[in-house]
Amino acid sequence: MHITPETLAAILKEFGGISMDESELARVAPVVEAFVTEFSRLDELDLAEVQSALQLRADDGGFSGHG
Amino acid sequence: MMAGFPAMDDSLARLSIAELAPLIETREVSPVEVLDQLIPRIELYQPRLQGFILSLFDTARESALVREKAIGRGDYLGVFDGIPVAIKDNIALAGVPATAGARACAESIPFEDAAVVTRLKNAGAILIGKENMHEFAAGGRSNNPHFGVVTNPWDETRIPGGSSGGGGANVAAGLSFCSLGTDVGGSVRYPAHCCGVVGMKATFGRVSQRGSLLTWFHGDHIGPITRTVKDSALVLQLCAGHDPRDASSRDLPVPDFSALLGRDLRGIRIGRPINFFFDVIGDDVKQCVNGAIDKLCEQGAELVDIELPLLDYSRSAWLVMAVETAVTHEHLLRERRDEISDDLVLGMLAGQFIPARQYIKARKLQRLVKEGFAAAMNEVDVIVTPTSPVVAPRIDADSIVIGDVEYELKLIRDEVLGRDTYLANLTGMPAISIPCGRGEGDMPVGVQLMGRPFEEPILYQVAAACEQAQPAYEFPPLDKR
Repeated sequence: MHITPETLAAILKEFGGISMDESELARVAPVVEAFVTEFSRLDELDLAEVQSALQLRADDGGFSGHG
Repeated sequence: MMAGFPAMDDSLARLSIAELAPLIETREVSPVEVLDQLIPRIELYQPRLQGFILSLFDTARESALVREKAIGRGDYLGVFDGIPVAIKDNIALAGVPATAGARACAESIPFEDAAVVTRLKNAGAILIGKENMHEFAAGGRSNNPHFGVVTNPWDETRIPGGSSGGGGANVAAGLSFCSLGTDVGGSVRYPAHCCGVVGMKATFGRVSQRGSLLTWFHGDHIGPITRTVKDSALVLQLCAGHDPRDASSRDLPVPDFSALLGRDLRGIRIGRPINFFFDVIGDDVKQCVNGAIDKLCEQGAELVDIELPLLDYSRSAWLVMAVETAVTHEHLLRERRDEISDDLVLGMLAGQFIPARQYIKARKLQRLVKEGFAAAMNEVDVIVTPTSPVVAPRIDADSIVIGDVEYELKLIRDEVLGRDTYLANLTGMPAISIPCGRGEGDMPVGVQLMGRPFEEPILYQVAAACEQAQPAYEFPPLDKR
């Protein structure tokens, strides 16, 4: 997958985010590409039935009397 | 006089906490005397090591005098009373800048102490300084462009590790008895490996995170860097405990972390992974780590080969921290971006583009990795791995070669240097690095032990056995260069 500065600019324009100038977009694009390439390996795994490691327990957030 | 010290009398500075505390308690030594030895030593070597961002000598002297008088009246608070300690500069000390190694945070002054700092103060510890670190704790080299490049006291052309590099260097060089660092991927353990000292990351939730500049709310830890395992257990004893103001803090009994120190290892099962950890490793590190394993077996431990699933995918689950980093530092990225190092800015900005779908998959993978480790820990008591594949690289190195493969030392999350440590953050398991020998360039090598959640006493038991099999701590020969 090749991530271009133009793609990143379009994402920022349509979805918002931390603004970046052309130079930054050009330098960040390869970093994003490296990230996305690494993460795309996860598509090799069947994770549909796996619960996320992030879970907010029912008694969290003050119900225990703490916090 | 022990090798490594100049003609100044710093016999007190080279003691461990466990050795010094009884001398203070019995009033053989005053906290003021300890500082009188320590401060000149810091002033002598700080220009070379750059381990501190801010010294607190004036307030430290005031505190030492207060404690001296109190102890003289019989008001001794315990092991840490009068002991000089330092904290990483991303941990809050009220009224004192907490820069996180970043110029963008240079004016950030907390109004409240971090939870661990409150514990230190209540125990009578003397805070001597805020320690240098990799900018925003976002790397493993502590080559800080704003506050000075931290150097390794064993070889000043090499890194001390990071991100708690100042702590590693200071403790190793005898400029502090203990450092509290933070560890989100190895940042306490890796400096310990590089500098030949002990670095402990306890179970996630064991020590309150409140008051540290967090990058990753699910994997950041505050932990001690010390010269001995006993000292590490003492510091953790002080810092551990439930904090109702930290949602990550677990309300569980705190055991005596020193209870099993000195016990033999009969009945202890040591798990050695047959995959991942020993796949990328220098021959020198491998020899040291295997030697440490052999010595543990000689002390009665049973060695069990284990296989841990999905580790080749696991880096994704850690790299998604980039998303959280982008959010954590969003206000700085919007308002003070030009004050942040270029390479860090790129990594932070990149985080905002990671697709949510991939983030969720990474979090699901994290659960599977945790379950894999949990299954292994049903068969063994401790997992043993290298702390890092190679000894501390040179400060100016852009890459390193392991076997026939050249690894670029990327400025954004050095991929190979931290490959053995981040899994303990991903799983929340306690993990400790202990010196286990010398490698290339006579540089220290650390062995990492990982334990079951909230079973730090067993971890310390094995760590102490590992330490016992090594020569006594030796200070780097700073005065000979």
